[in-house]
Amino acid sequence: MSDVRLPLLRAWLDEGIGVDVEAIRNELGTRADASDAEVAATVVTSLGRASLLKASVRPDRRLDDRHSLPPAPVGAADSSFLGRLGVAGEQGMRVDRLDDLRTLIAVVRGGTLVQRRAAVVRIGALLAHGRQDPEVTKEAMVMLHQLRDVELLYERAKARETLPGAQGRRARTEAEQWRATLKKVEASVASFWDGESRVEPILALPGDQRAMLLARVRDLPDPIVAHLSAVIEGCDGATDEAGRMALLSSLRYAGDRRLVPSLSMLLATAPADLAIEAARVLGRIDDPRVRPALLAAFDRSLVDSRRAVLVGALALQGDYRGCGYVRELLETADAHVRLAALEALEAVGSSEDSESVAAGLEEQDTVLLARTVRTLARVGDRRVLPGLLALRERTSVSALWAEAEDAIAAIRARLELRGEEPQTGDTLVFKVPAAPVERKTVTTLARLQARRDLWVGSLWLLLGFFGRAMARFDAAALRRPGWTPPLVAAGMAYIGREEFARALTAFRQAIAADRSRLERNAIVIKAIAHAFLRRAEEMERDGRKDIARGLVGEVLALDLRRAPGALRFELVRRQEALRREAA
Amino acid sequence: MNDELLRRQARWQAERLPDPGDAEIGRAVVEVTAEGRTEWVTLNVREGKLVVTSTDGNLDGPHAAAALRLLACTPLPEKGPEIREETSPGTIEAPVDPLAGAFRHLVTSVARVGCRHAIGSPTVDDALDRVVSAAGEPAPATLARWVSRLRAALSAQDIPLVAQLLSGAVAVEEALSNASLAAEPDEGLRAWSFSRTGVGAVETVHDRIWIEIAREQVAALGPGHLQRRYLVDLSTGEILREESHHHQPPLSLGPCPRKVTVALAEIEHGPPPRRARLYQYAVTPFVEDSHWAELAALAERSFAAAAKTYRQSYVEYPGLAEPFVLVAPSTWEHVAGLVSVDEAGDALPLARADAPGAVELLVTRVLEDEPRWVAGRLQQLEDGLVLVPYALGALSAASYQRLR
Repeated sequence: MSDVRLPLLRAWLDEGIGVDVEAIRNELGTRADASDAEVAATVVTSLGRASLLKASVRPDRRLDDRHSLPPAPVGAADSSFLGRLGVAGEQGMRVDRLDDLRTLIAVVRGGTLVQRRAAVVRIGALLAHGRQDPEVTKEAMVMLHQLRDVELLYERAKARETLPGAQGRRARTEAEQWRATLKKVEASVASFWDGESRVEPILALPGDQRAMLLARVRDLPDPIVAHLSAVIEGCDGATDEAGRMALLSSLRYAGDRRLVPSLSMLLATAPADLAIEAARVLGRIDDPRVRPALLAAFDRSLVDSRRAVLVGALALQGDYRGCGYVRELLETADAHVRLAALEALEAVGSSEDSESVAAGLEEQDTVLLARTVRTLARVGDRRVLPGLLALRERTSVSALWAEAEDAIAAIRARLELRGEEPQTGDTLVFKVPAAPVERKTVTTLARLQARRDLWVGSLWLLLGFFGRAMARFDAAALRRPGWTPPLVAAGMAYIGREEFARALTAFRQAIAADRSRLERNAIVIKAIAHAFLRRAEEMERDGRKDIARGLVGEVLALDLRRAPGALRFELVRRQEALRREAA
Repeated sequence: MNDELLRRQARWQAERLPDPGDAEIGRAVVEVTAEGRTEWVTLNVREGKLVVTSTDGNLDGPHAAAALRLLACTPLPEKGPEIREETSPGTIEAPVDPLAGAFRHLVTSVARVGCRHAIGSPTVDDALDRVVSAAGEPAPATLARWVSRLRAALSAQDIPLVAQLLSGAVAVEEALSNASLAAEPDEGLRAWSFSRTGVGAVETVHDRIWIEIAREQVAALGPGHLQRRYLVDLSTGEILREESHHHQPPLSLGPCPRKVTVALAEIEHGPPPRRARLYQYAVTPFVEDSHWAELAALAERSFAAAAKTYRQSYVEYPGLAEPFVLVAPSTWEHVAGLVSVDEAGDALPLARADAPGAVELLVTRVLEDEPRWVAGRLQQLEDGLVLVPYALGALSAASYQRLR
């Protein structure tokens, strides 16, 4: 086949042989009475063979010059310091080059997800060098200790491990505990694939352990991540769609690029719920493959609530298309769609959206209200501070107090980074509710006796005499009503025996007596959250999902900022899952 | 698969084999797909009586009925009028095999209309529908994939690829039309229409170690995607393909990457990578470094050899081959973009258009730690072959990275 004829063959197949089949017959040298079918067959086979000759390699260094790169990202229109602050690998001002701890602390509170992550890492690096002002160092260490943002769990853990002192030691102990759990999980995963067990080991873990394990997905060895991929793809042979969804939602903050191929596959081909959850996980992974996958899904998606999630995920990747679309969705009457729009605005919104989002502070639905406050934390400016204060004054739900406090701290941090000075009215003082007034009949003698009962009960517990210990705790609580330590001690003891129902009874009494004190105690609030979660899991296993939903809702109404972030995340995840099932 | 086609092929092959004499058939096992399910129907002869059993336990169902019809050689109802091709004026050709006629009609329609007008053309759409209809329900996975590729090629105005795909249609149309006249068994025809055919169509293997290095989901006709896994046989170095479409049994279990210890599997003769079916196996995500080192040693070091294999596969299986390779570049060069270079100095560019994110990630990996091997699909552009990367690795488990 000559090179001269090749362009002709291409042209014929491109434009069609119907135009002048006679001429083509002559050129090909076929019979005069050859049918169109014969001519067509000759053209395609000749062209096929000829073009195949070009399927070769050569020494010249050519590139694939087809235009196919995904459309450039739509940038955010923010020319402030935060808007221009980049991260490693970018040009211009970068978080990893900042040396001022106070600025970094403000970025942790008020920046985007990528900036916040980078800021925590940078703070850890600066503190490890130890060449900072002692006062500011202390402020940074306290910030790291109190940081409960579930999106930053991994970076926080890594930063704390390098710290000196008690905090660093605690963090390193937690890391050791994590490695011990991982070792058991590795053995379970190996047994699972060896066929010795038919139960998928990671979903079989109690919720809080699973949350702790998956808080550090990036530190998991490759075979375990491959196992996770198999489960979410549905290739493990043991997990149904509900289980896949549970694991996928547990991976929301994983941030591990090894999951990208599986997640992209789910995004493209899985049922809608799984695909959208995959989008949420993908949005939080720093990887060049993510944005093309999200863009393709965004172009295909038609349902508002799902499209909104994709807009949010793209915004986390630095692509702010769909911002106007999500703003319009905020006006819809469909609460489900509004929720999705608020979620998206956390990432794609800006201070322009403050007022429209703040209108949601009048919501009665606590879920929508909490989401509104969280969104304001990311996009709000000084205009919404009075609204947040008003919410704080009128609500009795501790969790909303906590969200409002975090939102105000984030807004103040952004004002600081913009160089604005907060006005007097911005200063909010949160009064700690006074401890309940004890009954006047509690005499000093009764107080001393109650304390003695508590000590003796603790001693009995240490010696293994559970019944006697409980009797002593009961006696202490009766002698001194409104005093929480014996109730808490009883609750903790029941947790030790995995009698979560009884633990709840004791903790509820303690919460009724002095909730705010319990919420301020990290050990106690962790135990309370743990007991509620485990009891909810028991109820769910028994098929009593409404009760489970109630339990999870009840504990999430508390101020859980001092509980481990992974535990809080697992409670939120479980609440979403139960709500989806009920819908 | 179309029963009439199956009987025709069986008749054709039987005529070419020696007289079986007084051989007796004691049992026949038939795989039947109906109502979206695939079941196995066993037809046993016991004490002179025919005993039928089915894996779904339903002896009155469509699966048992189809198997019995096959054995009884019961004619099927008319499918519709034969396709009559009107050619040059005054000439009317004799009726052809329905599927052959449908392919002929499709090639003619696309060529007449022209690629630039084919998308959205009612003539071409109708011709495609006829091919799918003539192939029977459900359409074979190879055909489903072929139709999808043709549509994509027409949409992308990839004229050479359209020509290659339609060349395959011409080849199978000729083979179908001349099935009774051909002297040699037509491997290409089997690869088109059958998942498993006749004597010698499959190779049974056991006691092998296969490493899965990549997987994908590709478009195919009908709901859902075609799922594919690519596995390397450490004994032979061959890359195999596990494949499943919506109406077929699901694929084997396990993540990617994984080590598969094969106790029993079948490999179909067909376009590379050949299709494998795992029957008895063990799987683990824990792949030893020694296996990764073996795999790296099997990678093709000559891009020219890979290109030759590519061309050969298209010649042998026109329209069907989608070659997947494991190559070991000698070095990587940055020339306004990343290019892999082999020992002979030949270059194999990366397909940025098909996997922009994956190529960007590969660039990052090359800068940190040059991978020893890259696996992916070869694709032909105007000026030569490019590689769509799917995975890369070196000598240890830690070096493996799945790109897609």
